[in-house]
Amino acid sequence: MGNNMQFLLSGLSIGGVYALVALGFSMMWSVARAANFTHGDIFMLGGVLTVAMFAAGLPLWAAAPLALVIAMVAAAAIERFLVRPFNKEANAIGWMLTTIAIGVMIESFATATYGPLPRPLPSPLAAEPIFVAGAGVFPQELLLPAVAVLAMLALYVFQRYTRTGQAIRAVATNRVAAGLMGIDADRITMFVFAAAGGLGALAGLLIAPVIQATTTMGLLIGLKSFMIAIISGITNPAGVVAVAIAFGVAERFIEGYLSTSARDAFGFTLMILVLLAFPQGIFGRKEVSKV
Amino acid sequence: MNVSPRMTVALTLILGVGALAFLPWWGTVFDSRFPTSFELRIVLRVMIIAIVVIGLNILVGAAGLVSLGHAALYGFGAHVAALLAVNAGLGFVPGLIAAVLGTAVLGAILAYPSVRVRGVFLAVITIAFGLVFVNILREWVSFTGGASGIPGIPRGELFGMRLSPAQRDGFIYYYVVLFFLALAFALQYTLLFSRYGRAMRATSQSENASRALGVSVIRTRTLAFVISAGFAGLAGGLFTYLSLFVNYESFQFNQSIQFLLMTILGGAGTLLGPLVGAVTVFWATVLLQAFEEWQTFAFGLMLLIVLFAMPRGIVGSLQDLLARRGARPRMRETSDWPHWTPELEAVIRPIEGRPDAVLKLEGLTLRFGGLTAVDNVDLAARPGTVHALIGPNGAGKSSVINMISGFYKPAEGRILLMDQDVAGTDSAAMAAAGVARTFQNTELFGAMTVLDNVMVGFHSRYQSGLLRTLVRVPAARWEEAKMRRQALALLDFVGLTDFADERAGALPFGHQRRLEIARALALQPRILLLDEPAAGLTHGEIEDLIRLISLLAEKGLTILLVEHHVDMIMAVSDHVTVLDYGKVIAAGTPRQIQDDPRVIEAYFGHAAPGAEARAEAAGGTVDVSASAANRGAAE
Repeated sequence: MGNNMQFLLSGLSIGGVYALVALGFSMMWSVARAANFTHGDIFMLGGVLTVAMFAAGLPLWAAAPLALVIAMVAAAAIERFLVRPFNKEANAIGWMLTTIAIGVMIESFATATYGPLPRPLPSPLAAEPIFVAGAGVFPQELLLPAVAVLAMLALYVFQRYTRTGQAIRAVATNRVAAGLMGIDADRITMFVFAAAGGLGALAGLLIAPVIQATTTMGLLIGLKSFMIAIISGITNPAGVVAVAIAFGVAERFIEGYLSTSARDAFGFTLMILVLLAFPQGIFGRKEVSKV
Repeated sequence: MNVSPRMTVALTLILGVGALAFLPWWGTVFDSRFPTSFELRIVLRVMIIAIVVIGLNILVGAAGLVSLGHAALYGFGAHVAALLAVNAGLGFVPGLIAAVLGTAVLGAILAYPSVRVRGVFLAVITIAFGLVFVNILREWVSFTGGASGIPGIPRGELFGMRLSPAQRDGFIYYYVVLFFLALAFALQYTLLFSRYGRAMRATSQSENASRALGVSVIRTRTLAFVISAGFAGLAGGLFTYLSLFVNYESFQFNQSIQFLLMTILGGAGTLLGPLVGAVTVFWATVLLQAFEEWQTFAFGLMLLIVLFAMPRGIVGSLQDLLARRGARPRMRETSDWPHWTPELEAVIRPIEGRPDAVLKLEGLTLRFGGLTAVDNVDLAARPGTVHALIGPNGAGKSSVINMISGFYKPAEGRILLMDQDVAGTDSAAMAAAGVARTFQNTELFGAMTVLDNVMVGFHSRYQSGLLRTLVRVPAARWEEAKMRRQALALLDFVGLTDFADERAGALPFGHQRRLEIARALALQPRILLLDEPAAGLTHGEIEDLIRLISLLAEKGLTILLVEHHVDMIMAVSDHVTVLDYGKVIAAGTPRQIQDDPRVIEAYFGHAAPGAEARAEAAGGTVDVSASAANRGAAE
């Protein structure tokens, strides 16, 4: 029983990470029908930059926001210079290749400068575990799913009630028509990529005190989150967050009762099967292709 | 200077295979230390990798899909061969066959679910697969040996010969690998220049047009990935019998990126690209070894530079350069159309039997959410007639066309094609069953030649399957030649013969419309659906189009025409159905329709009592689309 509670709690935590990163994929995909393929590296930067700047003597309250800003600028630059010029025609694949290339560069650059080993980040919320039904957990861990749900709700409110948010929805629905209504679709897209980068980096710096930040933590998290976004129906933020958190919990249980490799094998097989059963994702709606 | 692909292949095979075959004996003949057994091993490794890259080239270059899991597929093939050799005592040939087939099947399992939704998702699935694959190899120690891998794989044997690359065994394994490389290279050529290769390129350029021409996008993409995976499996098997030891280290994500870099740098979609790319990148790896941890960074940077500076890769850029230098700019001659020739009798034929209607719609209904776009429509198109479907903008005409051609699934009602209910059938299957269509906004395969555009239209009419096509049995060659002749006849029919080798995207608009009609006719359709074929054409072109449509009907083809242009409707149609708000409001001969008060009301609204008289006075030349647009604006 205590074990199960432990699995549940840490599953919620990793699920929160998936949710934040996957939410970014969902946002990017909605407006651009493309994404920063190595969004996972933006997530990594959030954690790694905070640790590096904190180690360089910056106080935490300055290092964390600064890391967020740098990650967002990087995400915006990736959109402007690597996605936009390579996403001109339908079925374009250039953006995939350019963002993978930059991802490889970011990761190896970080590894060469920051070091290959995980480095810890102190946090007031990860100092003393609290106990829930016999399972120990850092408050920091529980912060993640809460932040993910809040981010999703904030996104909803933002898209519903602000001018920029409505412009985002317009671009997501019909880019050309949005352009004709005077919306600068390119700027909106860049803004969304930056915002998505911000959410990803936020997940990175929030999880850093729990798992210790490494430069290689982005690849797998980014990828799984992209797959989670796909199987949940990539343009549905609430669905993405729900599936991501459920997936995180399921993973922890499989890992706990079987093994780490079983976790990944199961997770992957599950995703393929879900995609077979729901081609548009669990909560996705079929895009009506206008002929 | 223009080198035909056929010549490229022949030259490469003769010169390349010759040079590579001689290489091991260089030292003996010229009495030098070169090549040492170490150097030969490197050449062997590059040859094996080139086989993977050739496979990836088919996927990326032709089908326009990305795989970031090819290292894992390569590793899968290697492990299948290794495990079967060690645990089941399987020999070289059966082991290799198992590696190819096993990897191909795995490819199908990976590709089918993901390409059903979007081609892009395949990239995500393949990376994930790659990571999981390596994880499993590392953790499942009892089966794969973990980090210590699978050692002690017995050397392969073939006809009693030891398959070793050493000189004392006559470099025999070296020649085995060379044989497979040459085979892979030849298969790449026969595939890319067959209907399958064309179908792959077509799906990467326009999914809708592919489906309308009877090319199933999902099947074509899955096929591309399966073939590509088969090549990776073959290379994996060859690798196993070279190194006699496998573990996960050779098959990690970085290796997948390298394969992709080789494909792009060499020139995706070109024949020689994979070879050039494999050699260049492998060589760069050796040079970059000195950079240690910055090596991966350098690969990322290289990929980025290539994408910006040379998106067509080394071979592609060279080809462009040669083409530009050799090009003599000339005016292309547009011929008169329609131009009927006896050749066309084989393509455009009256339908067999004498059904009273080729196409019959019964109670056809389509809803988008709460909106009923098409409401209980009945229609019967009689053989060899032109049936016009008219109505104001938004009346549901295109929706009807989209349902007949299988792009939309009707909510209710029946679509009878030659008395068989086909409602809800997938669009590619509808096209293969003889429903051809054009698009309101032309959908050509812009980067393919004019001739290839028409050739895609013949896809579903070929008899030769994949194997026969790849091996180029005489029947398959003959068939390809026949289709080519018919395609040229169709181009001649619409006056585009002189444009056959031009890129379709470079044609002027009117010519694009003609090409789209020729391409649709390649399906040898039972019924041809024309969706506003006159839109955007000049007056002269419209007159030609009218003659073309009448001629086709005279030759026995049944045509369903959606059009706004009144002159054209009056001139060509035998029967007219008028839609408004999704409902049939009138049907009859053009004359009857013209005088029908309900039709006049639909177009001009209530406040136009004089409309009828005006239409008469103008001799029926009122441009209905303009009036309909006015109505739309007023709403």
